[in-house]
Amino acid sequence: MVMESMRNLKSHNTVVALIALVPLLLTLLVYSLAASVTILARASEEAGKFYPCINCHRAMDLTGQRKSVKLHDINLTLGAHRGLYCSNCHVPPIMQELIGGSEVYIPGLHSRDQLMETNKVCAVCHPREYKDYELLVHANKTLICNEGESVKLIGYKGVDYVFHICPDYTNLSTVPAKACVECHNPHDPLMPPPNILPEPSTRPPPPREDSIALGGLAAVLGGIILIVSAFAVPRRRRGALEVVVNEG
Amino acid sequence: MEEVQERERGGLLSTIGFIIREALFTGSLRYYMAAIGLILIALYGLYLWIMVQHAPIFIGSDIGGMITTAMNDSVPWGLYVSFFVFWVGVAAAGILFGIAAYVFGDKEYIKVAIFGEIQAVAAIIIVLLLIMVDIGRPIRALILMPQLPNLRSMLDWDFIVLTTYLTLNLIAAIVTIHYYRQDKPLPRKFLVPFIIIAAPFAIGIHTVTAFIFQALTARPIWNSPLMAPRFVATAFASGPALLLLALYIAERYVEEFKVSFSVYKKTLYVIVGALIVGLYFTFSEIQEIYWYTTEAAKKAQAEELFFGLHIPYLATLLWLWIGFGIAAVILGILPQVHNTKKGILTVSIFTVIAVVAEKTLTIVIPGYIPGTLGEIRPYYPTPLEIGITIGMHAIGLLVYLLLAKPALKAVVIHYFSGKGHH
Amino acid sequence: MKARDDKTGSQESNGKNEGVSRREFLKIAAITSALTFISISRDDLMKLLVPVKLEDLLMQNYGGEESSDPLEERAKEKEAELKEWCNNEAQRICRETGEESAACTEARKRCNMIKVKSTPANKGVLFAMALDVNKCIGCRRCAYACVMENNQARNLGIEWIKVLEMPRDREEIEKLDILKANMYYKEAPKPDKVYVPVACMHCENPPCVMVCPVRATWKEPDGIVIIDYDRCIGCRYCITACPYGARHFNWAKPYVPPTEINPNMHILGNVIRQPHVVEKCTWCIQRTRDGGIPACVEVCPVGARSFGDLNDEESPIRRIFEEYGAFVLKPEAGTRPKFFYFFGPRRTPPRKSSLIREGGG
Repeated sequence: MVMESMRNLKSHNTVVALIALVPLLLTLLVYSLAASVTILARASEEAGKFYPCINCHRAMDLTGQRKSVKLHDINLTLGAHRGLYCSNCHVPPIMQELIGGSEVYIPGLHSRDQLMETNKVCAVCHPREYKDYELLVHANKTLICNEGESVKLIGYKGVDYVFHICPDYTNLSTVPAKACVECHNPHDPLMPPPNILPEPSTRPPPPREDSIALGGLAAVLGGIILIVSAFAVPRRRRGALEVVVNEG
Repeated sequence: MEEVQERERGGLLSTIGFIIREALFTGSLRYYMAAIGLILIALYGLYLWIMVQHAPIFIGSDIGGMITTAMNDSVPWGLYVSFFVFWVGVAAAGILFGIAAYVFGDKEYIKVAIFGEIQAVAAIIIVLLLIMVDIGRPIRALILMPQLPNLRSMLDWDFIVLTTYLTLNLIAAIVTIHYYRQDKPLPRKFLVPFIIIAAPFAIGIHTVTAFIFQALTARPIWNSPLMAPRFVATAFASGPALLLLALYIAERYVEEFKVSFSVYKKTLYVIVGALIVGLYFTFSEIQEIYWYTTEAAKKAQAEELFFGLHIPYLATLLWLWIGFGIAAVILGILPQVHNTKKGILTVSIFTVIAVVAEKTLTIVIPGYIPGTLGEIRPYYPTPLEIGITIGMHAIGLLVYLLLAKPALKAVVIHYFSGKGHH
Repeated sequence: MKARDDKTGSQESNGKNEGVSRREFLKIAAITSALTFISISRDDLMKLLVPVKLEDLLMQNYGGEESSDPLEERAKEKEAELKEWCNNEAQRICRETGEESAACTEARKRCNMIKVKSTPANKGVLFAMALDVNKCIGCRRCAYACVMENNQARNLGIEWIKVLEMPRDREEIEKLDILKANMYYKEAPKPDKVYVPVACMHCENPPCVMVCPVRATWKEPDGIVIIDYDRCIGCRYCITACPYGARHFNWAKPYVPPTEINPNMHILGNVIRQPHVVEKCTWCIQRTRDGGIPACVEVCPVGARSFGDLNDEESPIRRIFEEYGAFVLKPEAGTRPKFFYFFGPRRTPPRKSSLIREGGG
């Protein structure tokens, strides 16, 4: 997970660089691109790299009293947030700012710290869960160490696991692993369950023990023959034999 | 010259010499054949234990280990512990003959009381060996048990009482041989303390063994205060029954040795009485489990036991106990049976079968099926487990044989050498 | 007067007599009290004045670098032993797959990273774990993460965490019994089922600790029940005594591939085990004693698990107690577990037809 965040960090740097460059180019191209914005935006959040949301939103004068936005694939008539309108969370008319004092950041595009900012909007309506989140009850937690790295590998029964590799494992600390929006799509917050892993196993069955069984049979039979004949040979009575078998 | 010989013969060391000589260097072909037969089985059992089941411990091998047994995390105790329970019972009952002989002064019992002690020694050796092969790291156990005893653990108490009882009986057997072979009666100053200490220990070993099981809330079917009394009751049936069979064999194959019929008959009273009490306890447990109880786990385990839903042999064994137990009691009551030696021996054989059925797997396995999380993993012992169990029994029987030989000789010297002691 | 004098005289003489006897008495008393002062007061004083060990002082001053703590010694020995074993294994892998292979380099790397700690319990900490039954989706990620984190034998199928599936519908209430739980379910989550992961409960009153004949298992001050693998004799009495099926036995020689070793080890936790010893959950002692969280808590995709210090006001466990209340499994066993179940604010995924009912929250 730390590795992931590092990757995020890198991408964030490129984003910053791009953001610095892009406006110059884009002010020239903005009108020509305006027509193709729909297509670019449909190509998902990657578009944001080249084209900040605010460029369009500034000019759009949105009311926020809507239920669906085809462009962003948002449909508030479905899902657990279906009672809401855009303006319940976004500040109109630009929609870039959020209720609770944060801005819109997009997972995979912005850094973890920025995404953590967006938790504020969730806290407005879900104070109980947010308190849980802050106290590490709700949501994923992870541990971090100085100069550590995370190594993912496929191990037992083909299930992957992320190892924390630290220089020494003495000063670990526990933090929330993810921002709200990394697990819950804010427009449809119900989290789809992940796949299920294989059934539990127990100790493997014992190996085949035919040779042991045969050897045991031979030893016991040999022994019993010796013992029984010991009783049977010198005396001829049959009664004793039965008794011996029963006791041995 | 004779006096010197007499004094030499009188020392305890020379008694041990006598025992070794009698056990190892004199004897008929018959005796050696039986001993070699037992050694053969015992060696194979030891081989399986050291080279296969405990190979990672003893020879550091990568393969093998207790994975070769059928025990698992749901059924962590199996055949070994089952037979451990049975033989503790047999050992406990050895003292019965001692009580009859030394407390009540029965003349006929005094002649054979030593065989009760020897049986106890042999049975406890089987018991200790079965624990040894069951424990994952036996050498570590031997080192750590005395160093770090946990007095809340019943296993430690069991170890303490078993080793003490073993020592007591070994001493008693050696002392008895010591006096008898010099044709002297046993002195009171030995008998009184011995019987005062040993009799409670005899009850103690089996009680503590039951306590290992009965105080665990995790295993509801064991969690009944009737466990210990039931153990002791059936122990007092199986132990004397086995002893009667052994006495019969001795009587048959040792020329001078004779056992009075009154011994057989009086022992039968004990066997039948103990069986009735044991059956009555089983009946009482059935009521407790089936009449009102709402304890689901206990009921589920009892159903496994009584009906063998997943392990048929459990039900077979349980009904074998009830069937053979009742049969033995009825036979024992009939005058045609209990007035003949053959009849009494038949009852004894029935009793041994009944108690083996009752005291082995039927005690241990139902506690694990279903397990604590409701998992049902049937347990069928592997050939290796059976082989090792038989091997350990062979060692015990060998001890029995080796000690019985000098004991018989000593008893014959004292009681049957025609001096009119009878 | 005379009579009075006599009286007083007699009184005086009496007094003298008494005085003598009193003096003697006092003398004896003084001697005996001095004796009692010596013999009893020291015991009393010991309560007040606690003896100080030089080593403890030195440890504080020098940062414990030259500590003679037996556990630390053992940890060092174990580390050397494990590194040697691991390098031999790595050598074998390299011979089989070639020096340049990824497995070879990974194995070599991991072997050198092995660290065996012996971190003692922190003062005043009492660990506890809680699990939100409303959230758990029964995906078993915790069970598998646990295996990887704790270097469990890959060849023996030991899994510390078992997830039980039980019905939650009112119609099937008679099946809501741990005896009828199913741990081999193939699909999850199902809306009419509840999932209850079970592992060691780290009881306050652990039956497994009571029955151990060699005191190889005990409860640490921070509440973690641990096993000393160098002491366990493998009698399996604790497995029999545990009401939660938490303990597992190494039925053969355990094997962990060097490429998958977790180098972060604790001498009482996830060091690679020996054959024929019992093992169980230690709440990832190698992580939690140093401020981390157990692997199962970290890996849970729905965040159903929480872990913390009961004595800490700000800990997740305290929050759960205050906000939701906690429940324990098998209370009739009287073990007082410190693994709690609770019913969180909402269930993921929702029950049948609950989408409508719970909307808008």
